[in-house]
Amino acid sequence: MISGLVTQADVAGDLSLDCGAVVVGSGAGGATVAAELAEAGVDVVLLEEGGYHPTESFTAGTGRALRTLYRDGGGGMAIGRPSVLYAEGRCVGGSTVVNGGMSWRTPARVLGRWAEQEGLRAIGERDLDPYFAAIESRLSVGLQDPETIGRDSALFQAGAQARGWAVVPNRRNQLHCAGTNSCGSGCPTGAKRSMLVTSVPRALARGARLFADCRVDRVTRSGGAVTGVTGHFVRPGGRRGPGLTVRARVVVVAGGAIQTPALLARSGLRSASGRLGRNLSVHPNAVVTAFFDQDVTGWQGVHQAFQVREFLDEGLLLTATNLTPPMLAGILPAYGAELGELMAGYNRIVTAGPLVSDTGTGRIRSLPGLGSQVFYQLTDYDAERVARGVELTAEALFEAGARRVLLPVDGAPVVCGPDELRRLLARPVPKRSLQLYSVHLMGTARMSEDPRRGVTGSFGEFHGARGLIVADASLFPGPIGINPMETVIALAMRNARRLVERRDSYGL
Amino acid sequence: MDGLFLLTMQSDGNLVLYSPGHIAIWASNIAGRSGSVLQMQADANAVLYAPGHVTIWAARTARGQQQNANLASEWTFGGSAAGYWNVDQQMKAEQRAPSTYWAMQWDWAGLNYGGYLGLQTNGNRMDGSTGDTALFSLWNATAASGPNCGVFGGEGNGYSCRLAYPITTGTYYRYRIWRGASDAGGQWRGAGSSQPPRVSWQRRSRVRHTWFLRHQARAHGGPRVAGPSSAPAPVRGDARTEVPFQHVARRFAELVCPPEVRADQRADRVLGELGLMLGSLPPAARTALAGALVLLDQGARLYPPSRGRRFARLRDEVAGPYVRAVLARRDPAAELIRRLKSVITTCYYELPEVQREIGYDPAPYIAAVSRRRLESYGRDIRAGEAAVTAAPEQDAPEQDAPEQDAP
Repeated sequence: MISGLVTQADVAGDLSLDCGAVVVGSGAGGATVAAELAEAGVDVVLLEEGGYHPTESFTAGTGRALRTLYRDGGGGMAIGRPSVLYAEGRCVGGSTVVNGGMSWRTPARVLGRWAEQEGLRAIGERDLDPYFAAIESRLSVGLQDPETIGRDSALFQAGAQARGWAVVPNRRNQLHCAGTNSCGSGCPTGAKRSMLVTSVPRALARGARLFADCRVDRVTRSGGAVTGVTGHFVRPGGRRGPGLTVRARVVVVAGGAIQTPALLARSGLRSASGRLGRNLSVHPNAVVTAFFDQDVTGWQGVHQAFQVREFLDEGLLLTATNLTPPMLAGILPAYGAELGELMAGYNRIVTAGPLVSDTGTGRIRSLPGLGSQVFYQLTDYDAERVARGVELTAEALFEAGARRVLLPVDGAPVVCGPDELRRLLARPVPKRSLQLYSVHLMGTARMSEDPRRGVTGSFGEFHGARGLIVADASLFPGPIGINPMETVIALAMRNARRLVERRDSYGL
Repeated sequence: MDGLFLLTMQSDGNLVLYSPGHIAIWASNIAGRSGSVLQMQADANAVLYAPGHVTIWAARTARGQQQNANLASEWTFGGSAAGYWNVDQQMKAEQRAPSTYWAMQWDWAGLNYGGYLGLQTNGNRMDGSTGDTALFSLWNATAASGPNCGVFGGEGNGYSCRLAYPITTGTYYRYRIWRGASDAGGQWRGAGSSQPPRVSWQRRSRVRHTWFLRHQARAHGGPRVAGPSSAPAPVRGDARTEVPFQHVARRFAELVCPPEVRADQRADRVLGELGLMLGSLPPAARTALAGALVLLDQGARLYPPSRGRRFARLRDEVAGPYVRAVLARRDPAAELIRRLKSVITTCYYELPEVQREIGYDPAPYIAAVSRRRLESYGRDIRAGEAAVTAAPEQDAPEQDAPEQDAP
């Protein structure tokens, strides 16, 4: 246990708190805001729906991780044709505890587009560079120590380079990552500098109070200003525990692009733009499974050591990510003896795939009795690019020596060479047969200086409710095409410092 | 009792009375009785009880409450809270004035916390109102539960619970605090109750209000070598749910997992994992997966080769092709059953012996590379970790020219 932390086990009856700012969510956005505000002497209460799971509790076990670190066991589904399975972190530190640990600055062309289309202020590369520098220092962002790069990454890099493509080593938030390949289950060494081991303890060391296992039900308001939040503690098994009331002058909502609009909507907040809960981008990704003759042992060494950036202009990013046996078994369409045969070759497998900067959008709807449900419609254009990304990935894998390749397409045969691949993909792939996943959810409370276009302003302030700030990937006006964590943190840090500058007007 | 004097119970059970200037003027000279209870009685007589309520010493310093004055005791115990289970005190509210308190305060000399339990005629309550109030406060507390609790500042920081509570003169009040046995880090429960005079201590009076306040000890973080086991085990926050329609789930697992699932009670353990997994799902998803099992089971009746039997009763020769047919369909029910298949195969490949069979044994590898990491970069790592909570970073910009607000 750490000082300043309260979990459901500590609480027997209803709680009532007063503070300057209450921050909902302890992921990339929320933890960063909490640390910034606490640094400035603001009395901060940080609320996290998930549990507190310290580094010491992390093992490679997939089931444990899915149950304790992810929302709904990692099995979110955005309904559509096809449906997209998505995963959200739900624990102290949020998705930064379970993500791949990629730290890339927002591409300048994306920032330029946002400034131009939405009239956003102070969001140029020059404006954000100092924040990026601060983040990269706090999170030890840099290149991987060479001895930790796994053979799956090396093979994929070799294949892509043989095709003549631009391959870059990944920038990762890691302090001498050991390459345990457990990113998705929580880093067992603490080398991945997630919020759990950086901004959360930093905030607590500065007097912030953290309440874990605490779900926020509503943002409360009086007149045009927010007054705090109400929520409840969650007992093991999801049972409802004691209530919590927090009175605050500033409410920062950072629950991620699904939970943030859901919370605001159930609190009765409306956006004149009509965009709250809409405009969801998911960066759909797909997994190509390749079988090699030689031993790969992809679970030894860091995953995603490289990114293929050759096709970034088309909105395609390719990378190799090793999956644990339970995860791989869960996504392979095979079952029974056939599944057993495929999995017997686990140590000769490389899994890799494309991530698509999507043009389609989804929305979050509140369904009676079911809570929030995500709907997402893949566009034909995006489906074509997924198929192209799959083809490119498979090409690189064959180039690297793969013998057989499984495509993320329902009913597709096992592909045994590049010619067969080209023949198969010459015909359009039925959109509905694509097997898609998402770990990047963005855009559902998008920034725009024009309240008719966006839910929030240039600095995350909700159009139409005083003292309400959004600080997560919901802010993104659109998809960014790369790993979003550093952008989330930079916006959160920038918006928190803006808040501190104007603390008098917020009564902080 | 004169507030200028200090009565200290040391961790060895010795009770020492200090005069102003911290000069010991009296000691009970009873050591080795840790767990003793010091009780301030109605007549302001202080009595020290050993565990089991055996009187081992009484101060005989009884003195009535002065008019328009306060009755308070302040106990400082040496060492830590270890060995102390509760502190009792009974007080009588003789007379009241606009600003009167009847209170007990305690702390441990070796620790940074202590507390206060009492009644005040002009207490400031958490909702901002003032008046007759029962208060229970703990300095440096990190959590509180119970009605009307919140943080306080000013005279130190911590949590306080404050309840509007009419104070009646001529009434005896009993204060008691308990230390939670489960948590040596310091969970304290405070309670106060009014009681008629001359009630013996042995008889339990009705406790009117109970609050919990809690401290937490800081655990030392720092670099570590990852643990040895990746075997699935219940962890904090795990909740197991009974797998619904278990015989159907088991039969389905036998068919969608590799054939080895039928050996060594693996199916049982797959169902165990499945129960854990279901426990982490929201109720709607649990219901949906239970629905998938019902659909799978009853749907078999419509499959001609089954001749009207349910899935769970089908032999492999019939059940296998039925599952194949269901999983190949494209309707929403089949999509749900495919999800169920994924969850079950995930659970199967979670079993440690299954992982070892396919050459996946991450725990020794993780331990080895974690050790290599510390050996190669230990100094860098310690410096990096320390920097996280260190003084303000100088790497952040001041926004030099704040912009105008949008019109």
